[in-house]
Amino acid sequence: MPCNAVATVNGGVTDEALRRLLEQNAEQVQAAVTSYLEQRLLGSTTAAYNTNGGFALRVSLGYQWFDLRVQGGAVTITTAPANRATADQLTSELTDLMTMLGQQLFEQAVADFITTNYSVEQSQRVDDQLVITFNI
Amino acid sequence: MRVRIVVKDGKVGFFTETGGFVEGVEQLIALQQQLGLAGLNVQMDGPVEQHRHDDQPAQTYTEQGQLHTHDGGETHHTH
Repeated sequence: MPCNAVATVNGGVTDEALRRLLEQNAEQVQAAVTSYLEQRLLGSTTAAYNTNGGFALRVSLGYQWFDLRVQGGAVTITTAPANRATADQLTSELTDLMTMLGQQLFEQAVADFITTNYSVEQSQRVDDQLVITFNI
Repeated sequence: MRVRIVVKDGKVGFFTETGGFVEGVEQLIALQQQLGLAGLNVQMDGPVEQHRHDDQPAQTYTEQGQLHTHDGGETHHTH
């Protein structure tokens, strides 16, 4: 791709914006978390209840159980003391999953925003990057 | 004015491809503000710069609106 840029600046989505996106898309996040846990643990999950912008799950794995609460990008796991190491590992993995989901939601939201508000010349994926050229 | 935006892993690159530098600075700052109003807040890594290669001098605007020219070096931006 030829480089003909005039002015340029780099930036990154704020943590607050990511958290808000995750809360606004709690159902999508819940589906991703449930799928991940069932594949990761080969266990079963039961949706316990939804909260404002978040949700809670109980994961059963044989004699083990984990209660998860997900709010924004934060994951809290409650379990029996014997399962603490597994819970800590799951917390780390789910936090990474939250970050990835938030970034995907951000990318989609930016694409929607540009498409809605500006005249798009081209929108494509190049080297795993979303590249949109538009007119202001 | 033609603008290109590149998004990956929560990072965003903003580029103007037509028009002058001064106008480009204004448009990119306005675009950041519009994204913020839509809840898509982006923290910029630094000021808007004039895109350059190799040893071309760089120009940036201060918060007071003064244009500064810097010598040498190369800016590294995602293309």
